[in-house]
Amino acid sequence: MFKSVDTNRYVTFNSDASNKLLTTYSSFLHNRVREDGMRPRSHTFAPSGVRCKRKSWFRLRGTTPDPVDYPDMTLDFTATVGTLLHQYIQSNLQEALQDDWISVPDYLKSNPIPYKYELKVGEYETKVSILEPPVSFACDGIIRIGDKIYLLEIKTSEYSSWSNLTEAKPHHIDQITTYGTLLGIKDVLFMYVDRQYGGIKVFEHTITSLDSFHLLDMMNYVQDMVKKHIAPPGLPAGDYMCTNCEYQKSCKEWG
Amino acid sequence: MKFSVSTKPLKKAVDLTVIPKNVTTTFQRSSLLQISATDKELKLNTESDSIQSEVILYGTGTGEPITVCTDCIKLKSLMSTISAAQVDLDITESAITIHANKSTFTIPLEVNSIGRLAEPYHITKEELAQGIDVDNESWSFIKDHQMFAVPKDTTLPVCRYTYLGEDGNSLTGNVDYSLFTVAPYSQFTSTALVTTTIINLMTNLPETAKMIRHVDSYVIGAFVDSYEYRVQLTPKVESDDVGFYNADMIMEIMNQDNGSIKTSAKAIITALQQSNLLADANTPISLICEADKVHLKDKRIDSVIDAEISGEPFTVTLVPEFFKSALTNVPDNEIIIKPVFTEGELSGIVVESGVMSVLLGQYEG
Repeated sequence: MFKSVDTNRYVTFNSDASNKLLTTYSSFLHNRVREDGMRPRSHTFAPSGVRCKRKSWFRLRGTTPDPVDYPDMTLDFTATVGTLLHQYIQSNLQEALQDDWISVPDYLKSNPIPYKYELKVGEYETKVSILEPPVSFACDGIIRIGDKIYLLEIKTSEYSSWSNLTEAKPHHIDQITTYGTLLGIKDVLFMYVDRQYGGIKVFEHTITSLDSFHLLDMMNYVQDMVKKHIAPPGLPAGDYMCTNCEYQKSCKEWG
Repeated sequence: MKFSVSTKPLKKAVDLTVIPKNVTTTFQRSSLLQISATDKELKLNTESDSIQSEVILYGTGTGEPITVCTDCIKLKSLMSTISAAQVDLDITESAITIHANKSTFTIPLEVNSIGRLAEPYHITKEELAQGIDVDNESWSFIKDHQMFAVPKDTTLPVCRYTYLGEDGNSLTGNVDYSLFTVAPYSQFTSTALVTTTIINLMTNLPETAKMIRHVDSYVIGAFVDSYEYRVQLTPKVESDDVGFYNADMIMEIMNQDNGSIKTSAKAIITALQQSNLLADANTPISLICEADKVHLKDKRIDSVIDAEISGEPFTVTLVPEFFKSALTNVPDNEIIIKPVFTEGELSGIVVESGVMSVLLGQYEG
């Protein structure tokens, strides 16, 4: 009636030395992820979290994230793999597209935006820090296809999620709307990459003026709520974004 | 003054400062909730016997700063019914009007003849970081299992307090009924006598509360994102005015080893209930421990109880009401009953259950 347990699956070392190495490395990673999780966030909007006004409100107020007893190591590993894959793809695209791969500083020189900003140029990405509204982000790329400029957004995912994709995910669109609105680029290409087998899907999206208006209006509203010390509404109960939110406990206190 | 604030933190603030059991007619100020509003802060203060508490919330105020007092129970009851995410308070000397969504509630205020309530020591985050965590479980244990022994009326005023020893023991007792409880749940660093209001407070604290000693008081604080909470409590100390608990003597009586009966509290409670059905009022009951059996006996019942027996036989006569009260409040069903002797004479029993012991004196008719 019951399957017998295959205990071999749980073997992770086979000697004192191998155990020592495993323990040392695991503890190091665990502590680093835990400390990263409790690091105060910068007092800015995070484009990946703009869906939730309350989360943005906590960030702008400098609320300390909830203490982390058991960091999610799998989530951290997935994020790290995603970052490395981004760099791999960006490096390849730079070579493939040549002059059609446009650096963010060059783009901004030719296409000024109505915000004060600072740039931090990296090997593949440039971090853009807008002062007002306070937003920091690093878009994955700005490219030219034909004579149209596109914002490139690279997303890596599990095969099962990737294989069912037929268009860009709504919460990714919220994020890219932030980049596009602030950089003045309304045309977007999402590149979805399967982390397991390397499959690629690309979907086009256009940011409308109404999308941009709602975004800026939301940002003004959240900043106003920060000044008033009144918590804006959070997402409906059970929303996926709440599961791993670093302000879950604080959010409950505010109702 | 008009003040806007998120509802949940305001509800929490009211729940922390207003503890209904601590509102008494003997301490008039306990019926009041003091509300102070400025352009950024809303502060709630309450006072009860030995306690001053305060919560500071942040919001937005327009108008002149103001301080008023209102009926704390009325406001607490009203706030518990409000579900809007935000409330706008309109505070004047004569009324507090609460706007919640499209509804409006007005609480008229009477002239405050009492004056401003006392406020707790304004402990800082840095000071609080040096404090100890308040052990909610310990205080809940005292409230749930020991407070039954605190008399409402007594010939010995010191018994109205819970004794918290620097040795870690918590005692409650009733000299008139010869009933005392002991458990290892004192968190105080020096021996103190605390009122029931303090016990009620300690079981109503936020999870993150920490405590420090401040002169002759204890100050507790909890600083979370949505509010700052401070409370100062001042226990009494044993003195000629208040009296002396003689805790050492009680502990010594309880720590005797003259044999024991290991049995079930539920079994004895059932027998006591049966006796109560048949007995006349105020009839004492005898707990008889023989070599091979234990029974509860009075004029009308003889109930044999399953038990493991060790030591010499004994018979002790008890007041059924006190015996049942003790057994109903012990934490575990498995109990050990031991006879206690004073100057060679059997004087009562100790009931041990988990970490708690209850001393019951023999009936003296």
